[in-house]
Order: sequence, then C-alpha cells, then structure tokens
Amino acid sequence: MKVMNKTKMLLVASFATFFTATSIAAEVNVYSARKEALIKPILDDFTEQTGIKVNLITGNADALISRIKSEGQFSPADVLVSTDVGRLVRAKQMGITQANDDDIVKSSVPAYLRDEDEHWTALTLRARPIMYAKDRVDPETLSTMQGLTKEEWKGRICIRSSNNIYNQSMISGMIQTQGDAQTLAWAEGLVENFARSPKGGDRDQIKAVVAGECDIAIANTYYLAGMLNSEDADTRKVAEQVAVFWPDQAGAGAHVNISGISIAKHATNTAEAKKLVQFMLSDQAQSWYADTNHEYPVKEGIEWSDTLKEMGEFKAQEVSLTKVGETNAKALMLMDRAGWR
Amino acid sequence: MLDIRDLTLSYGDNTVLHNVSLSLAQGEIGCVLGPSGCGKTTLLRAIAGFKKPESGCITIGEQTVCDELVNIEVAERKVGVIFQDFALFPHLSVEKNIAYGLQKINKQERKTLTDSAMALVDLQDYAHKYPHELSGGQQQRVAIARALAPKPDLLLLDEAFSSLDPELRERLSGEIRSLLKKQNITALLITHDQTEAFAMADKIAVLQDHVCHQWDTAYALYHEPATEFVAKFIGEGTFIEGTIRQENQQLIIDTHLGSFLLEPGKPLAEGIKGKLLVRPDDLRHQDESLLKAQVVGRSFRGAHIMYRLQLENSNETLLCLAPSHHDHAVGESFGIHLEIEHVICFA
Amino acid sequence: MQLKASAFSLYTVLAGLIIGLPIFVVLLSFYSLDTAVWTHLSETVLSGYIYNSLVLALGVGFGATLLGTGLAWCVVSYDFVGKIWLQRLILLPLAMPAYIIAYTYTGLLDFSGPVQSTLRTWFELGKQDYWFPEVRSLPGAIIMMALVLYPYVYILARTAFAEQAQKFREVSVLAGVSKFQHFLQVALPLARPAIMTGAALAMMEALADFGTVEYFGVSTFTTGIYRTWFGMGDIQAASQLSGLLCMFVFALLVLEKQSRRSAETYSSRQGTGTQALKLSIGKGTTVLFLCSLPLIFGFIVPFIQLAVWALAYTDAGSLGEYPSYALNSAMLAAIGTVVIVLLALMFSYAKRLQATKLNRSVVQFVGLGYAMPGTVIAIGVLIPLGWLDIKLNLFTKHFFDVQPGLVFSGTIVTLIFAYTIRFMSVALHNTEAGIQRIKPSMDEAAITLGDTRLQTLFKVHIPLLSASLLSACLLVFVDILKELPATLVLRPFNFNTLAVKTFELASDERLIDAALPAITIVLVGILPVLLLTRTLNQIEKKHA
Repeated sequence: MKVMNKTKMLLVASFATFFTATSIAAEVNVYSARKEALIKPILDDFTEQTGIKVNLITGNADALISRIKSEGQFSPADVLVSTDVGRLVRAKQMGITQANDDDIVKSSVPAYLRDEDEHWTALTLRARPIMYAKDRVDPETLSTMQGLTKEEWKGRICIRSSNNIYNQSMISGMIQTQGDAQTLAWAEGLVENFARSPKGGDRDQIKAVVAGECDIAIANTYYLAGMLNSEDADTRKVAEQVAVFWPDQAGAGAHVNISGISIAKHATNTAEAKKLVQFMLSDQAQSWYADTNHEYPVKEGIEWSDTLKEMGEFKAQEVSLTKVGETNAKALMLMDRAGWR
Repeated sequence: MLDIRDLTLSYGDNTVLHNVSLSLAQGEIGCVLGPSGCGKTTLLRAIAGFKKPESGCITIGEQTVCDELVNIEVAERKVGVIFQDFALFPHLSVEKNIAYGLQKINKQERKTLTDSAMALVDLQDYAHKYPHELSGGQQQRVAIARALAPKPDLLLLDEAFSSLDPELRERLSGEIRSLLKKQNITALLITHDQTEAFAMADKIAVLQDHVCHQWDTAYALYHEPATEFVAKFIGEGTFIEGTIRQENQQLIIDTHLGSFLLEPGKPLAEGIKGKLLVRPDDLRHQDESLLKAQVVGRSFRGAHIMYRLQLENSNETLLCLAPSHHDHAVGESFGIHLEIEHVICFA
Repeated sequence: MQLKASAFSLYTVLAGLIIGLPIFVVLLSFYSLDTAVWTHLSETVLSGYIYNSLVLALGVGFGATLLGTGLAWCVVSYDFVGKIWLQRLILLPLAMPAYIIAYTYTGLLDFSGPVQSTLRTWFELGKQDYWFPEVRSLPGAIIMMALVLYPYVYILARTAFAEQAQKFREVSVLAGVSKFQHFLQVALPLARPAIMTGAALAMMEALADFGTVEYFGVSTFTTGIYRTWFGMGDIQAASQLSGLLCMFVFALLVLEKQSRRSAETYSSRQGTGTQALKLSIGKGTTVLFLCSLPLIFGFIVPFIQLAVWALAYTDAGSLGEYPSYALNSAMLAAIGTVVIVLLALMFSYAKRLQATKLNRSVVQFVGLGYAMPGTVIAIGVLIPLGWLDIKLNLFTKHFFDVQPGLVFSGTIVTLIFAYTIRFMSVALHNTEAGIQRIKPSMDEAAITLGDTRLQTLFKVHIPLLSASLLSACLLVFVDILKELPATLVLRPFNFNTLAVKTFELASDERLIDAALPAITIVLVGILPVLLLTRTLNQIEKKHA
C-alpha cells in the first residue's frame, strides 16, 4: 500500500513537471550551462534564504541560447548561466540579454570581468596553466606557452580536442596578445609536439601525464584540484604526482576564462533575477565555488581553498573578455588550419 | 534398378513406414500413391538419403545405398529430386540454377551438361531469366532440367505437379513421361492424385497407414485390388453385402443382386458376411431387367451419366455409369443388370 | 470507399509534413550559402568529416553484419547446448547505449586503466616498451558501435535464414555442395536483402551518434556540426552540414528500400523453414562460446564494470533521486512510443491503401530523421514550435488578454515531437514489414464481408500485426530511453532523465559517478529488450 502511494505521488509529481512550464509563486527561471551538481546546491540555498523558487534547466550553452532565441518574447528564461565568456558575448550579440545596472555587481566585480554595457558579469575565474609530471619534468625548463613548441617537447604534450571551449578561449586570448600569425605558428608547433591525437577531457590529460603517456598537460586547475580532493585514495595519489606551472608570468600572464551570468532580455521575473545575480556574488556563493569546485572567486577578499593556495598566486592574462568571446570562431578556424583535431 | 526391401522407418515412437517393399526396372516409372500422412514423402526422403531407416535395404542400380551396415551419403547416391514447388533458387538465373549441381565438374563439361539439360526441356531462350520471371510450367521444366543435369541414376518427383493448375498438370505429366521414356530414365513419383499416377506411372504403390497395400500396374489396382482400402481408394465403386456359402468346393457370395462365384485363394470362409465390390461400369442400364433401382443422385459427365442408385427393399446404394442418352431424373427408377468381370470380395 | 481512403491519405500527407518540419527547417538552411565558411570548411576539416563518417558507417555496417549474420546463421542452423539461453540474452546489447559502452571500455582499456596497468606491472614494461591498441580511435568507435548495433542485423537475418525453405538445403545436399558453400551460394544471397536492411539501420545509428565519437575524439559529421554551431556560432553552416549528412542517409534509405523490394521476390515460403542440425557436445560448446562473444563484450563485460563502479563508489545518499529519474525516463519513453507507433501505423496503412507516389515519398521523408543528430533535430523542432508559441500568445493576448506561455516549446510536447522525427524510421521498419506480410486478399475479404476500412484496420490488421507492433514499441522505447542530445536541449524545467544525468557526470569526466545512472538506463532497458526477444522468438515459432 505504502509503495503504491509513493509511486502514485511520484507519478503525479512527474506529470506536474511535465506539463507546467510556468507557475505563479515568486520564482526565477534559470537556463544553466553549468552542470546541475555545480549549481543546484547554491540555488537551493538561494531559495532557502529568499523564498524565491528556482526552476532549473541545464544543458549545452549554445543549445540553451538557441532555445531562448527561438522562444522569443515569451521565453520563460530569466537568467542565463554560462561556463565561458564566448557564449555570454554571443548571447548579447544575438540580443537575448539585457543590461543589469546594479551597483552591488559593479562594486563586487572588477570592470574587466564585466561587460561594458553590463549585460553580463563573471562569477568565477578558471585558470588554464601547464601541468607537469613531477618526476620527469624539471620546472626550470618551463617558462612560457611559446616555449612548448620547442623541439625538446616533441611527443610529450597532452591537450584535449579543439572542440573544447577552453581551448578555443585560450587560443582566442592568445590572438589578442600575440596576433593571428604568431598564434597560428604556435598552434602548429604545439600540434607537432602532441603525444597523441586529442581525446578525452582535462582529467584524461592529467591522468595521461601520470600514466606516462605524456609529460605535460594543459588543463584547468579545478580538474586537478578536484582530483586532489577526491574521496578515492587512488585518484588523490595520481593527482599528487602532477604539479602546476604558471606560464608567461613575466609576460602576458596565464590564460583565464570565466563562468558568468546574464539576465535574459524578455525576463518576466527581473527583480528575482537581479537578486539571484547578487546572491551569486555574495560571500557565501563565492566561497562555495572556491571550496567546492576550486574556482577562483571574482570578488576580492574571498578566501581560496587550500588546494588553490598550494597551487600558488599567479599573474592572469588581462585581455578584454568581450574580444576573447568575439574571436572565438576565428580561434576555431585557426585550430582547424593548424590541424588540431 | 531401384529395389526397396522391408523398409521400416519411424520418427521416435511413430512408425511412418512398415515393411515397405517395391522395385523398378531400368527406364520404368513408378509411383507412390496415397492420402496425405501415409508416409509417402518419408519414403522418398529415405531413398534420397535424408532420412535413415531403422531396417530394410535400398538398392539403386548396382549399389546398395542403405542397409544395416552401409548408409551412403546423399550426394553419393546419384539421385535427382524434383521438389514440390520446385525449390528453385530465386537469386540464380535459369542457367545457374541448372548448373548448381555440377559444381564439381570442370567448367567446359559443366557448360555442355547445362546446355544439354536446357535443350532437353526446351529452355535455351530463357537461360538468363530468373525464376520469378517464368510461368509455372516453365519453372517446372527448370526444376526437371536441374535434377537431370548431373545425370542421376534415379529421379524422384515429390508432388511435382501439385502446384500447377489441372490442365497444365495433365499436359506436363504427359510431356514429362515421354521425356523420361525417351531418355530411359528410372523415376519414382510421389503423389496423392490418381489421375497423375495413372498418366505417368508404369507401376503404382498404394501406401496407407504406413503400409504398402499393393505394388502393381494401374489396371491391376483397379480391377484386382489387393485390399479393401485399395478398392475404395482407386477408382469409384461401392460395396454390397452378402453371405458366403460353399458349393462344389467353390465359394459363392449371395447378394440382393444375385450370386457370384468367388476367385479361389482369398482368405474367406463359408458362413461369414462378405462385401462385394461393385464398380460403376459393372452395372448396366437395362430397361427390361426386373431389378429396379431408384435414382437418388446424378452427375452428368458428357458421354456418360453417373447415377447414384438405391435398390428397392434395401438401403444400399450403387453407382452406375450409363450412356448419357439414358436420361433419368432424380426419383425415377430404371432397370439394372449386374455383370461383374472381376469378382472382388472382402470379409 | 475510395473517397474515404483518399481523405485518410490526405491526413497522412498533412501529418507527414508536420512531422517533417524539422527536416524542412534544416534543408531550408541551404537557401543561402556562406561561401567564406564553406571555403574554410572544405579547405580544412570537411574531407576529414566525410572520410571519418564514411569509414565509421561502413565499418559499423560491416562489423554489425559480420556479428549479426554469423550469430543468426549459427542459431538458425544448429542446435547446441545453451542455445535457448543464448537466444534469450542475445539482444541485450540493445539496452547498452553506445556512449556508455565507450565510457566503460575506455575506463577498462585506457593507458591508465586496469588492463594496461596490470600488463605493465606483470611484465615490468615502460610507456614505450609495448604496443596496445588505442581504444579511443576510429577503429575503437567502430568496434564499440558494432558491439551494440549488431542486434539490428541479427533480428532481420535470423528471420530471413529461418524462413528459407529446408528444401534449398536439400538441393545443396543432393548436389554434394558443402554446408559452408551452401551458406555462401544460397543462404547468404537469399538473406542479403534482410541483412542489408539491418546494416542500413546500424549505419544510420552510427552516422547519428554523437556521444561516442565526441568522447573518442573522432571528427565526424556530427561532431563537425556541433563544432560549427557551438564553436563558430554558425547555426546556418551547421544546418547545412546536417543537410549534407541527410543526403548520406537518403542514399542508405534508397538502398534499404531496394533491398526490401528484392526481398519480396526472394521471399519463398515453401514448406518448412530451415531445420536446425544437432551438434555434438564438443562442437556445440565451441559454437556456444563463439556465439557468446558479442554478448559478452557487448553487454556482460561493460555491465559488470558499471556495476562494480556503481557499487564501489556510490554513496547511498545520492540514491534517492534515481527512482524519479528512472520514472521520468520511462514515462517519456512510454508516451513517445505510443505516439510514434500509432503514427507509423497510420503512415504504413495509408501507403497500403493508396500507394501513390506522394504517400510513398512522405513515408520516405519522415524516415530521414533517423540519422540526424539529436541536437540538430532539437533546433529543427524549436524553431517552428517557438514560432507557434509566439503566435499563440500574441493571439490570446490580443483577444482574451491571457498569456498561456510556452505551451509547446517549453513542455514535453517538444520532446515527443523531436523523438517522433528521430525514431519514426525504427517504428516504420516494423509496421511496414508487418503490413506487407498481410495479403491484400484479406482486406478484400473483410470489405466484401461488410467491414469499413477502419474496421478492417482494427479487426483484421492490428491483430495480425500485433507482433510487429510490439517489436516496434519495444525498439522505440529502448531508443528513447537512450536518447540524449535532444532531451538535453528540449526538456522542461527541473526535469532530469537517466541519460541526461549520465551525460552530465560523464562529460564532467566523472565516469565512475556516471556508472549509477548509466547502469540504471541499462537496467530499465533490459526488460523491454527481453520482451522483444520473446516476441521475436514467438513470431519465429509461429512461422516455423
């Protein structure tokens, strides 16, 4: 009997979610390119504190943008969360975002991490440095990204496919600092030094370094940090064999990308959306991202996780994120030309 | 040429053939006739080698292909089979179908044999056609050519005409008989259709309930049936009852229609009830006869009319084949006269 | 009567056009070509996409044919120990999504996986000291997909072999043709149309796959479409690439139709079908072993690996959500199945009533969606439905001052729409094959006995079709269960399915955490697959 009731309840609940896209209470609709596990807990906190219900849909950023676009003026989307700047810039270009002229945002986030028209703001920073095998690579031999194209690294570098947005942003950033021709030459040189044709994600590159398939990987820090803090002892042991090297510290700085947030143009719950943006920039949310996913907070004065502290402070590339977003397609075509799969 | 002795065969506990014997001389065409389920197809499969018998022996030509000791492979028996529905390969042309059984021979010889087989059935113009492009009769001829191409010692035909319409069936069976005779091919035909058996075969085996009732010519099967089943199964006829008595060391049966002298050597004895076979042609239409019978059914057959008659004071019915100018309606009576040439009586 | 039939076919054409909308949207993108983008594509990556997609499709077609045909032949022509069990389990790989088997084998066979690590420890080998095949490669992708797609070939090949008259075999025996030669010269050519149909299905699945090739770093049309759309932000060029892919599929469909036509000429149900030969224990065990290999590698090994991961690394706390995910998945699959199979029945039936060129092309056209990547279909669905929603809202606002919101594009309706176009082909294959088996004389008999066409459908056809309908339902159900990209984009708020959950975890490189939802998909899929096996076995028995 009890089982029956439970099943029935589940059925009813599921049907309810099936057929209701909108409802009446105070709520905010979030289209998130962040995976559920990395946003849901903080949204739940938001609901708890404000009483505003959050409806969430996660998915690929471009798919979400296309969905907002095709839903047009009646789109239920209030907020768009993205894991890279390129998509935010694209969303703005497609005219599906609006300005969020909020002093709290302005005071919390440095100007270079916000859109010039306040259409989007960064929430966290994600750095993409060099990672090396402690037992096989002398960090003295590392210096700049440019240096990775040298003959001595032939067959020793692992990096994921050019399909990946982090690589696209990295190349896009390099185009800003070094220009097209030099970036293309660099990409070609890097492809020359690949240990294997690109496959898998960032964690796979780190694992490949540990397994000895390559000596150097380029990956986002939070992947390594996540492995270092894994519940699984083996994974921790693997990660401990790898160290981070911050390249270009004397020059342009290490590449960073952002995760960010935008308010949708046709948002109906604008007030709630603004509250959510504020909340995401609150100390609580910023610390949560720093602690849980080891991303760098955009707000000054938020303490980093121990792992991030151990990886050390670094000089970040200070280029216009808008430009990085705008040259994304160019970066991709450049990698096509360099034969970077 | 073909010699089958005391063949017994069963599927598990089910006996399908019991002590079946028959034999064919070179160039003879035999036929196994019987209702469905009598085991005739199993007999064919045993001869071809698809099924191993429990006991008995089969000899094809000089070679014993199957007995207690030997069981020769199907392919070694030199037997050709024409299957029901022909089993032509739909994906192969006529020529390739015919050449299918000649794969072990060298190319040139294969071509010669294929061509001559096609010529035999007059299909040269259809060499590159596919089975579905041919008529039923043509398909039949391809099947014959395919079976004959490897020059088998014995040809088996399994209900080979049953899928054709009756007219075509009659014409083809005649054609094939003359073809086989011309080539001096020994063949055994399996069928449930008497007309087909009579048209094709020199000798016919009647199979029923897993037993061979009689192995004889068509004439003998009709006029001298060995068992009551054969009498009923072959041709038309009815039985009338009578009592057997002995007179001057001869057995005589007394019936409503008179008394008849029985042939000796039959397992009959005085005092028992007997059944006398009356063929429709034994019964004559004779107006002056005192013996009258009433028409209870009739069917017009062109030159003749088949009457179903009922005798006065009896519920036995008889069949009478009368010339069609003796036209009687149902309910009328006419005189009949019984004149039996072959007196056949069973206990 | 004629009038009614044509009205019916009018509805069919209308339904076909509506269902075909997403395909139109994609094809319409050819309206304008951005030459700069296309020059770039053709100079750099396009040839790679074409080459990899072709090799992948042909490789998977070949692999699935090899496995499916071999298995079907053994099962039909031999009786051996354990055959009953083999037959019951042989379709299980259908429940294993290609991307999941790819994740598992990568975990197992990768450089840092248990197999290679163990080998290195045993033989004290270093990185360069030995050669090990790379799982994440084009050949790897081919093997993974062949391992889970062979059932498509097996199902059709088995029926084709079983229906071949035993007499054909006897003709070969009489002619002294060996069993193997008979297989090559007779059985295989006769079953070829059926095998080709199965291979075409497997190839279309391979062309539409995204998860596996993306994970393996193989650039095919699907990854190219994603890349062009997401990386370059060029939805137009992405649609055009999809259009190009559609042409591949169209070629496959034409091939498949022709195969089916020749299958009709070849179908020769005469007397008993092929009878199985009993094998000795020794030979039987060998055959059983060989026949179990696809099952072992396509299902058992990855299943055990997933189970180990799921059991070892899942904390009980996260279990609570899974029943609702599973329920969501199952409910979506159930609703989708009903809609799709009913529509497929309607299409096949219209084609039967009036095999006009128009009707036939409509059926052909709606089948095209099978090889379109889910995301492309999602966009094709979103654009027209979004437009419809906007118009609807404008209309109600104007006349009644109410805004119903996104009635279509924000709800399950979109998802079902997307599934319909994506999997119509699967259902059509079954309903069409089933309907073709019913002789026209039966329709005529029913109608002369006073039935209307509709009554004939319900009283004669549907009972006769029940087996085909059931297998259509089960196949579509399992396919929807596994579907990922369209579900990801189109699902309503706060709505998760097992496939979505698996993907989120796996794409975050949390393979081990993904094991639990992954194994749940497989578990939910096992039941329909076993049911399907039973249905097919029963059909077989009825025919034998």
